[in-house]
Amino acid sequence: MEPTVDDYLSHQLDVSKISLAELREARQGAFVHCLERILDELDRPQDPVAGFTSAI
Amino acid sequence: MVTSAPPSLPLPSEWPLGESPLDITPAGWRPTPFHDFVVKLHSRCDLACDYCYMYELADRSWRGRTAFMPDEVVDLATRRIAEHARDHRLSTIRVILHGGEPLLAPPATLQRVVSTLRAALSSGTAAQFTVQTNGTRLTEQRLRLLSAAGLRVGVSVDGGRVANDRHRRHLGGRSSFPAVDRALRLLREQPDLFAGILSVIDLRNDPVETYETLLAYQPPALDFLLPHGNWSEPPPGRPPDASTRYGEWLVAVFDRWYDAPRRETRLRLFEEIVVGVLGGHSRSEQIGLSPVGVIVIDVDGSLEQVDTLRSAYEGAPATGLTVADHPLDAALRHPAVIARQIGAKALAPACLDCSVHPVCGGGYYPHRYRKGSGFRNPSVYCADLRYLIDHIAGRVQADVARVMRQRA
Repeated sequence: MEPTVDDYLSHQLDVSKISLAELREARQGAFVHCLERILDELDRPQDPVAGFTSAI
Repeated sequence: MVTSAPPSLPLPSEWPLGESPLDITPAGWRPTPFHDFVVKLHSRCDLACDYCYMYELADRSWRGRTAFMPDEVVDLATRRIAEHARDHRLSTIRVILHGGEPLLAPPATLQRVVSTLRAALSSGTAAQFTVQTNGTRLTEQRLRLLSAAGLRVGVSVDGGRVANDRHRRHLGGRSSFPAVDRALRLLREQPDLFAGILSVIDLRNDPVETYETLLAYQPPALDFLLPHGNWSEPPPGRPPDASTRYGEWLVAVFDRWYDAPRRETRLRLFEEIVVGVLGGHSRSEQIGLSPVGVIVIDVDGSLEQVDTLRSAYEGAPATGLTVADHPLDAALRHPAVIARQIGAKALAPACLDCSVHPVCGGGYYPHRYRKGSGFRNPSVYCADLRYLIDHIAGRVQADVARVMRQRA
């Protein structure tokens, strides 16, 4: 049987009801950059693969 | 990691090579075009790193290959890349000049790749060029030439002198650290040219000290790589049990990175996991379920899958295709390429039963190999990845919960 969204929720967090400003207040640094990337990619989807473990 | 066992050929029944593309693709599925093109300019290296997947693991096919990419292959390769970009209307592509050690190739060869490809690409496609080097030949003059050609530089180094020289030595045992340290100092002064650092984990190295040593070179990006291995040839310090030494090593670095008051560098593995637990999509082939869009063009024009697969068995990256005879689209129909583009459909049943699989994506594909069954297995690093992802999810969850409490 294919996994459902419910199966994923235990490790994927819903932050859709929180503003970025609120999250920024909670923590600066790497966390905020990751959130900004997610928001950025909602508007401008990126190529599915940017990495190659033998190159950076 | 070093193996002297005779190379084994793939068994026809090993997944996915025994499969028909029609049998493993969902109805209506369309391939993802290649966006990352790894062009191998030189098949030899001036280091003899004992964990190297090119020269020290299962695949010994490099011995029969020409040393460097001839101009006619450069021209064919760039023509095929441009054709692929045009046919799929790609707005951006990435070209990674690789080896062996790509700086063993004459500077004119590197410039030829960039100039012929830029000339062949249509105006709607932008190309980013990077060279991934061991750094030992990166002088000020060489850096000027790379800069003039429009190339950014990624460097492979494992930490400070002791950490680096555990594995990354010249043939005969001489240290490579003074030369790579000099290269990294040069790049620190020219941040526009610095693409980042790749570092292979050795459990004997202190994790935070290793991170901070590398951070001192101010790389814009950094990634820690798990040593290659699989269920049949286990990585060092990774017995087939529930131990999590690699996970613990990575957690120590994660906490140091995540708790810094500002982002000190992009740390690719961690960033992909944080994005994954927040429901975003991975942009790395190393982790997550995103379709892999990487193709390798070897020095002789062979089209190959990622060459870290060499750690599995002799000829594992081969597709049987060449730039002389085949468009790159032909590789999109290869079962092994398809297997890396169908997300959860390629995972083992044990992975599908695990709640973490949308984040880990089953782990890095070469690490799933087991002789006899192929690549439809959990990663040999499954316990470590689970430990790391649980920790990261917990840290992120705590931050989100704090916001919710403040709101209440």
